[in-house]
Amino acid sequence: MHEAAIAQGIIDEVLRLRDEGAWSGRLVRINLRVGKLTATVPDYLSFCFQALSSEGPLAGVELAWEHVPVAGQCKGCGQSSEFSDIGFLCPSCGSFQVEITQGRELLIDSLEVDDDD
Amino acid sequence: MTTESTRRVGVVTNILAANDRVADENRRAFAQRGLCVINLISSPGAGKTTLLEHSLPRLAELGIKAAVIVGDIATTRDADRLAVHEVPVVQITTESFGGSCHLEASTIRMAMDQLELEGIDLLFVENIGNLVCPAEFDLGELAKVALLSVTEGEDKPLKYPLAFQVSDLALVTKLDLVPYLRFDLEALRANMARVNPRLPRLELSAQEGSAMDQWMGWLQQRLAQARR
Repeated sequence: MHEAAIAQGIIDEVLRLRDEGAWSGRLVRINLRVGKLTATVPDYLSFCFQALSSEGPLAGVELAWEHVPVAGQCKGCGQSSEFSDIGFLCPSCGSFQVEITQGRELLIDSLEVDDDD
Repeated sequence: MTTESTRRVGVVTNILAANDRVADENRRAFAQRGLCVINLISSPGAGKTTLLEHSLPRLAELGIKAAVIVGDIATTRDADRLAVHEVPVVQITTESFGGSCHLEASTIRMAMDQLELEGIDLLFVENIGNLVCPAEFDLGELAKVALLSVTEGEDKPLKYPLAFQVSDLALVTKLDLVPYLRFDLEALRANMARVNPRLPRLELSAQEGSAMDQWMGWLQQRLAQARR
């Protein structure tokens, strides 16, 4: 259950970005990019985010995500591939010497903001 | 609700940036002291405390001064077990009735303030027993060590891949129990290699002492790395 810490991280970073002037107005949605290797459960994260933000400036803001598939490059033959399962076997040459190049992302990608009237 | 007046603002920010900033501060503070910090990660009962109980006297014999930060949800049992070895121990009890499932960089920074670090060469962080969450949080350590006991089963690297992907060493513990178990050591080795082929591995029994010399050797290499 690291989702509560991640939800708090989202709140802290979004408010920090506001204080730095990266956005202003009414925040509608936070778009996340979450790698499949981070073992983050969307339902838990939404629940934690709602609970932690319900009485603050981010109350009612929606979370949306794009899942980032796991991908890696074979150190042997250089082939880049996506992996849907654990055990990163290069589909081209059969080597296990695969370097993971994506799938660990835990990013706030963009914010959707309504301008104040 | 999204309306026509909605603007999209690209920010691309790491969600754990706040933790990572503190972890970087910790890393700089450790480097300034030449302090070697090792983060021990495993499921509950894999033998983190037992490993430390048997490592601390050996380190003392080698003239290496160690200290321990122990993360635990509810009790001070681990700290009590380690305190008899006369090394500085700080217990982080996250909650009286069960709290956080992992340690964060800011927790380590607070624990540091309670430790007398003068003259300490090696600081172990015994993370909370959990093979999922601790893998995600950088503490500023020099190296992460993932422990897996043979009683947990040979399939665990496949079930908890991240811990084995982010670690710098895997320790297979309780090796003395293998004769009593239906445990396939070869399958475990293969599963670890599938998840992270570059992960070095030691197979040891802290209680019987097998491979503890290699473990000390690995720690001495990290100590040399920290002093550079």
